[in-house]
Amino acid sequence: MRCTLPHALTAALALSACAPQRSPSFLVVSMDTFRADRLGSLDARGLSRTPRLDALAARSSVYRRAYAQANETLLSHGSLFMGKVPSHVAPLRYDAFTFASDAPTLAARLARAGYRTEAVVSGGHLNPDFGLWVGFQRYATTCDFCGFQQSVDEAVLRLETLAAQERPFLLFVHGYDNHAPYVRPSLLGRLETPGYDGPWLQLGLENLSYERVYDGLYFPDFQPPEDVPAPGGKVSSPDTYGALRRYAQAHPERGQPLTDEDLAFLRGSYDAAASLVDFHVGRLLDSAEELGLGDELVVVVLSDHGEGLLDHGFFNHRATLHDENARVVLVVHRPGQPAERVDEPVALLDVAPTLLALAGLEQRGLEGRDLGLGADPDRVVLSESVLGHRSARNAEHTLILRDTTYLGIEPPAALPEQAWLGDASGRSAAWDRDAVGPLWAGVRELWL
Amino acid sequence: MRPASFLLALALCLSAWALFMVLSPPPLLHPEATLGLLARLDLDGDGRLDRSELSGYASPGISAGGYDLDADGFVDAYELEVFLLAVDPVPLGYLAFTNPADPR
Repeated sequence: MRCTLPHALTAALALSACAPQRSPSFLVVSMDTFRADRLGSLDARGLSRTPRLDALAARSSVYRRAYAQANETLLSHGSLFMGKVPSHVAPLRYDAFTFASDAPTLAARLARAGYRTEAVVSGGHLNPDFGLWVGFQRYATTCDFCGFQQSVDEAVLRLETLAAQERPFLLFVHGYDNHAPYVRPSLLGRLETPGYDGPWLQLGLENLSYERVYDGLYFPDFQPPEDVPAPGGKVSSPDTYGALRRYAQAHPERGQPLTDEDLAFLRGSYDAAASLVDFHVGRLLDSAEELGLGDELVVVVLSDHGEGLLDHGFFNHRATLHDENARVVLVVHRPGQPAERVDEPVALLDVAPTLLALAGLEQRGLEGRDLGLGADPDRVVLSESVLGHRSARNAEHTLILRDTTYLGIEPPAALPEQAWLGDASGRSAAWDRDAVGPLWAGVRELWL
Repeated sequence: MRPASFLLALALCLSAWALFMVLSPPPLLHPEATLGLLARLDLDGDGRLDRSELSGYASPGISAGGYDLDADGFVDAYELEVFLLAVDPVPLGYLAFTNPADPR
């Protein structure tokens, strides 16, 4: 047969259509303790402290009601990496929550498919001792409880190496900038409240000080319960917040009120950390652009949980599953995909199936949903905590169960001690059995 | 033009260029982010932070002088970026995460 030009063109087109597409690479950035409402594009106060992240969000899918499956680092990342609710990963105890060495984590699944998998983390509950490294071929801890200032330096170097390779990659980068203590002396130590000269300049340097504030009162004599055992060390007891509340209720006269200036300084220090996160994550995004990865790199920016800034009494995230702790940042940038704003509830455990789907891989055994499939209006998103709290959220309501003995849709005897119902924005709502029913079904599926 | 005059003019041009390069701050590595933050802090809008502006932002005991690398009395965009990129000398020091050998 003579090979004419049209024949050759047709053959070339057919070949290019059949040629396997290069799998996308993934950059996943986890901003520890970063409240969703501190991302400029989600900030109800109309403030933008995160211009670089907002620019990314403007050309990405922004999930406005994304929820973590736990309110702390260890369980939330365990769920993120495994694509399952925490109690389906391991027992919800600090000395037992870990991965088996052959766990089918997101990183392990990608590595088996030929991906290079690396992580640059900032210690704490992501220290290798806790075992969440499974599947990463390189898992670097830059230091213990530090921020993106350090981890981004290392991540930029890794990105340069990974970009030079033929293989697609997963690079996971993490920093604790927004974690307590929020107050850190520096050139910009009073960024949001210039001139503040109150006692929290000193008190705010100690993590313990935050565990002594309840409902706007500082209890200097409160002694938290003993730390509890954990791999490689100890962590503060999850009962700290219950003990603090009991102490505050028993000894209200011992509480020293925080002034409006004190509160503005502490919350401002938290916001300042968000500004610095934006700067450093922006450096990482710059680096990806400079390396020419823009067209093939899927970027996921998320937070593992939020932080209570006295929204429900505490300066912490482990005390409750309310929105300030459970609602998180989730921005997914897929090159070539139009930007969108998604208002239906989604879960952090959706990240694993979404990335696996983009890589063309199976999602068997995962409990999340590929975000590329679009919104599911009937979705119920579940979260858990080491304190035994459970929550369920759908498009209209939020149900938080604080008492493991409560098992019905009728109003529990001790509202709101046992159960709390809120609207989609996390505001308290009157008990409504028609609203609770579908949410309870989700919790029961998880729990029983 | 005679060769000597040409060489003199060339030498003058090169000297002026060298002086300009020495006196100009290095280019910013992350101009968008650094200038954005600077704009938030720069109350008088002169494109740099003077001691009075910095005294409110800096923690007590933190001397802006250490960040004023050319000791001209101001922290400019380049010096602000150097601060942002330098590893913070104060670790976050989360006290609740303790080593068994050194319990709280």
